[in-house]
Amino acid sequence: MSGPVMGDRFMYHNPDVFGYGEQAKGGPLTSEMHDLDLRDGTEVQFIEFDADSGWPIVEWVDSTGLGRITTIDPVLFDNQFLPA
Amino acid sequence: MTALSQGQMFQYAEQQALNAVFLKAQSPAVANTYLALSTTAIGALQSTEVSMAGASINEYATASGYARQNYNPTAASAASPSQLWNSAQITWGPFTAAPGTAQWGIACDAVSGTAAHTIAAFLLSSTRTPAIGDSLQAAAGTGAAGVGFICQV
Repeated sequence: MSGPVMGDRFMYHNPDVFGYGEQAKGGPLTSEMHDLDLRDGTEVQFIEFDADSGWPIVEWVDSTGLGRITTIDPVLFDNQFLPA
Repeated sequence: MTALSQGQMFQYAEQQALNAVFLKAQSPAVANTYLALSTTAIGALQSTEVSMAGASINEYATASGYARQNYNPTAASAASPSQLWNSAQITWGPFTAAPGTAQWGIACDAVSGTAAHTIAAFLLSSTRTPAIGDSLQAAAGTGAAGVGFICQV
């Protein structure tokens, strides 16, 4: 099975926890960080695999309307980012 | 003395600019530029670095949710000295591992990889040490000193 290519779209799916940052912390974020988190149901676009770590790099828009670029743990990318 | 000050261009960008305005070389095609974060101590970042592989760069590790963000600068101002700055807020993260203390923003020409050319360095007005789960946000520039990431020629 081939990996993602630039422009492929995925949906972050993690209904048990609000967002990607909250999952990493293992508990609630402050209200400001909560608003900036990559939340369940967000569509992301694959850019490339990071040249150093090999982690997938995705682009997405946060709840404030700001474009963001984030590296994603490869295991979580495989399990929680579903083709959109 | 090669230590950088705020908003100063690296050697690579200085060469690109001079060769372009004196019609010695074609400017590169229009493309995105990106803003990285660096933990290098003040006074230790070297203007002679030509790529993100430089020994004094010390970029945040990418296995942490961190990635370079679009710098998305304004057009250079019609003024002397001419300036440009980030046109929108810039937010890194959310971080999935503690990335250390950021001292600098570094503009470069690729979203990842140490082959990216260094363009300019911006000293943060205060250091930032994001925790796991945090995002790190910087204000949009306005052209006023001390607001956003301003580069001046």
